Amino acid sequence: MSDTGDLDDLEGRLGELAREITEDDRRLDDPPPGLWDSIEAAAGGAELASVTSLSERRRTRAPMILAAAAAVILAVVIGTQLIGDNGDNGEVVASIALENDGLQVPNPDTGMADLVAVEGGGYVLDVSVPELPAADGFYELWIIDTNVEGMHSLGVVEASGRYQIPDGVEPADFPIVDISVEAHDGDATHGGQSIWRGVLEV
Amino acid sequence: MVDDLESDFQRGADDALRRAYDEHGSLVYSFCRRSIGSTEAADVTQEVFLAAWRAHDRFDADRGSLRGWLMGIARNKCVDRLRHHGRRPQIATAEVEDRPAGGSDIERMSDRMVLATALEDLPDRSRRLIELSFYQQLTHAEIADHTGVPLGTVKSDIRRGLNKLRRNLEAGDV
Repeated sequence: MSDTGDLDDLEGRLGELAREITEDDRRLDDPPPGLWDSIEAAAGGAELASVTSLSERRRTRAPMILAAAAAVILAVVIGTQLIGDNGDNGEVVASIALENDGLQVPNPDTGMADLVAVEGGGYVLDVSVPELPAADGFYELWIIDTNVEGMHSLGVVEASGRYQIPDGVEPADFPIVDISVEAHDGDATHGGQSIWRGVLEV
Repeated sequence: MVDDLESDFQRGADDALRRAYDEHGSLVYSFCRRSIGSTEAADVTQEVFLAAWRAHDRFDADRGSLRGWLMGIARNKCVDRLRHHGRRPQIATAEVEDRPAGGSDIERMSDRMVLATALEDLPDRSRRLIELSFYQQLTHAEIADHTGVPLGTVKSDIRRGLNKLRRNLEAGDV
């Protein structure tokens, strides 16, 4: 049968993999207690309940809520498309849905970022995110290159708005749109915890 | 009706996330810990289960096991985290007591860990025969001699076992 050779191959490859298994690979550690509670809280519950209980959780379980808020999501690329003149000065040249997992806000599906070419040259990033929960720190908007090495901060984000992309910065070079949680520590670099992310196709 | 976590998870049954976490949480957490360190492992474990739950209807049991799918999500998120911190995707060596024989690639480590748990899931006889093949590297004929199990049975048991193992190592849709 034609699949016999296949299976022989598989047996050989899996055998080789099996012989590499170490004691460490077999030893499984339990997650910290309370992790399930955090997952359950983030995953379920009526929207009204999650909004009203958010402040209470914040006082007693801030680290876990910040963990939920810091969930980094897979990018969703919608692609370059002309949405058309949005009425303000400028034409949307790319648009993406920002994704967010687990953040307890109304309408977690509605994060969006539009790259807008403004009349007279230059670009702004028109960011629309639902209400950001109070965090131990502040939110900052970044555009990041695909190697995740170079990045530009577009400033503090408190709510939806239009953020100027600096003159001379080519949006196509920094297509990753990222909103991070930052501590008030005077450190200007990206703190490493993102809550919204998407990748523009420009 | 057999209680099937995979089909319950796919259709978003109420307690399926908790059952998936009970079943696979330690594997995901342990892998994350060894890939990115204990500081961020709990965060990423949470992200994995939440992402999986949000995408529960995209899980396809025909393409791979739930365990394999969850670990695929975990791999992607760990690699993401490491790139974000400007680090290459290698094991946080402080977490590893023994040097892994296969090198420090976290993809390979994920495969080893998944294979180890999937082997434990096999029915006893299948597992015993497969282990003779994997670890002692006996041929099927030698296994039949060694165990007294008829050669035809050895072959079909091993074939079934291999298909179950393969299911765990081919990630479904992520």
